[in-house]
Amino acid sequence: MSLQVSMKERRPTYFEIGLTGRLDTNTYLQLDRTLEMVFENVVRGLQLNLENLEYISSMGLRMVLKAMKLAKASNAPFMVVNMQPQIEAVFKVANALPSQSVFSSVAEADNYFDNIQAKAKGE
Amino acid sequence: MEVYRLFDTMNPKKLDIEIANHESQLETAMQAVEGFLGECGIQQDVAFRVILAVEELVTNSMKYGYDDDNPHTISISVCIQDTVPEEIVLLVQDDGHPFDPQDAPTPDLESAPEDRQIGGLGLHLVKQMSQGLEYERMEPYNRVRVTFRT
Repeated sequence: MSLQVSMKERRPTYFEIGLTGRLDTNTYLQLDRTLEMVFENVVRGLQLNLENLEYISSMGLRMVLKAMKLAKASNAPFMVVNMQPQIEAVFKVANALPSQSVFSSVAEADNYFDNIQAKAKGE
Repeated sequence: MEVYRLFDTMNPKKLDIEIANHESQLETAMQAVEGFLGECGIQQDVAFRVILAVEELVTNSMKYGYDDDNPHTISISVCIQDTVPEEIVLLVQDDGHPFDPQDAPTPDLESAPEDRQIGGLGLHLVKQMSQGLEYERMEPYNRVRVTFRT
């Protein structure tokens, strides 16, 4: 019942956090620490990759909501990618799906981010 | 305190666990319930909901049930009823302050997720992802009974 958290910078200032395993009362601090590390940087986009997330509880949801709040405070788009059905069910019950930014692939999320950046630059 | 797993030889589809009210015990309890549901062939999506309820109810007891430093025992029972469809009954019992989960305030589900006060979702998830939640106070115990259909 563990959680592995990975973090990489997909583009300058655009970060991906990947979760593998279970995000719950026993593991949420790992994501909390990663969020703190990420937001020590300038963040212009944050992607949460849930492809390998098997389980989430209310404590896990709290961390995802915290990530959304941090992204909003940085004026950075927040994207969720590859959500498994059992995880999506929990998000739906909590009405906590980010409305415009749930994607079924990393490429879609990257494209969304790139479009936002291009608009911001007036391209 | 150790986790006690008690087998009911009359009903092999029943698991009883007793844990101390210490957060280090939660993971062990969740693993025991997950293992039991797996042994009984319960579908993963149903097991997911039962384990979620164990986590939320036990966490609530540990966090808010006690204001002393004395050791307390939380009992968790999972029983698979031989009905069609099968029904799983989860019973969580603690000797903490009286608390009826039905009285918990409904969390804010309307504001944009990123604008909400964080918290209060646990019991909401349990209520919405089960077929029913009942509470009774049998001094000095809180007893919460949650049912799930397979």
